Amino acid sequence: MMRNRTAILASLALGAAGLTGLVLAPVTATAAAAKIAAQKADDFTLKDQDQKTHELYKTDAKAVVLITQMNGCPIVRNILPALNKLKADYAGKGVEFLMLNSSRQDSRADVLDEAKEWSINFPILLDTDQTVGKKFGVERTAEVIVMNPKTWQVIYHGPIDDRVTYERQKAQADHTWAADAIDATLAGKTVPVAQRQTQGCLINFD
Amino acid sequence: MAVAFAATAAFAAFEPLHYVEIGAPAPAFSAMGADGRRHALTDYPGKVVVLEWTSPACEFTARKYKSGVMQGLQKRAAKEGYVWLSVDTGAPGKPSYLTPAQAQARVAKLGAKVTGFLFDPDGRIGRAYGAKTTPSFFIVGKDGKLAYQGAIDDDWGGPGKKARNFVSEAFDDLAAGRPLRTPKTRPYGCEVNY
Repeated sequence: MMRNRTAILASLALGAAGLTGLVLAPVTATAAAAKIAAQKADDFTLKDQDQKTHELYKTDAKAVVLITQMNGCPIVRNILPALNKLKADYAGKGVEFLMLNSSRQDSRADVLDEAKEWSINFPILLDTDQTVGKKFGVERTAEVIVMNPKTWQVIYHGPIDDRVTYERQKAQADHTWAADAIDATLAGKTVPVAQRQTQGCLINFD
Repeated sequence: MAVAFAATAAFAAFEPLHYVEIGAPAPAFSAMGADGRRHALTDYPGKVVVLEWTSPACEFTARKYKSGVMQGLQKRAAKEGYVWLSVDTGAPGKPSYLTPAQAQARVAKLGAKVTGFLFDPDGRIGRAYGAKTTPSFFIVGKDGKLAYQGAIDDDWGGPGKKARNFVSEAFDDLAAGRPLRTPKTRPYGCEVNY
């Protein structure tokens, strides 16, 4: 409904002005801003694979990063080195990194096995009833959600970077979207594109 | 927008998956195939039966067909006289669901050589075997006992050269009549959609 009205307004404006660039730019920016403003993370409390309790809002961090995980997903395995690097790059800078497992199939024991086999050194929050994953609009693994704990706004929701896809792996990423979003959050800013489609393993939500 | 999602009503508890030990009798099943026939494990006594969990919605299953690795194993299985049953666990409305006609078209398009393409819409076979992943394999030996469960190979798309095809190794060991060198591995890929 909202989108339709915006589109109609945009096309009307386009017809009247006939200046694509000038008219479209503000419309797009407004739509993006509305999307960001609508995304505020609710508080939640989940236990991790070591049975440690995590409450999202109980943090001193300046940025909180949540990464969706599922056992046996090749994409998660492929981005692990990049995630480890991200964690190391922001060590001591007040950035909290958490993983989120919303798979109905992965028991705590399974998650412990996966973490051990792949040396995953992140708390993996066990979203057993899928509530948290659903609230964030999670669809796949390897989605990176960057939040600003001052406002609990979601600054970014998308892939860590553009290095890994289903079909190929580049030697290096050309875009470091998650790192850019963390930088923006630490600087109290937003990012131009807050949501991107992630290539990851589909999580079966009920 | 995502956060505006209302708390859902109580959902049905996830029915746990069974786990079948290697060497334990393979769970019996009977399911409708894309060919319009029912296929039961008891239809194939004294034969090696290869159960391939598959999904048309899984990128990692697609990779194995695209590279021809899966078809290569199917050819080998046929030569050995093994039964190959692809199993699609997915109800109507789920991404992995196929109609019989769609399943037949898929088998033809991929050049898959299978004894049957079975539908498991209620997840009964998947739960009985504990199938979690596509692609993944359960191989039933001639004695009706579970001989192998796990991944197709170690080539999950990570860096470095991968060399082991566990299913092919299982075929070698079964053909030679010796115990399997690796009867159990951890599969990789997509979640089976119960």
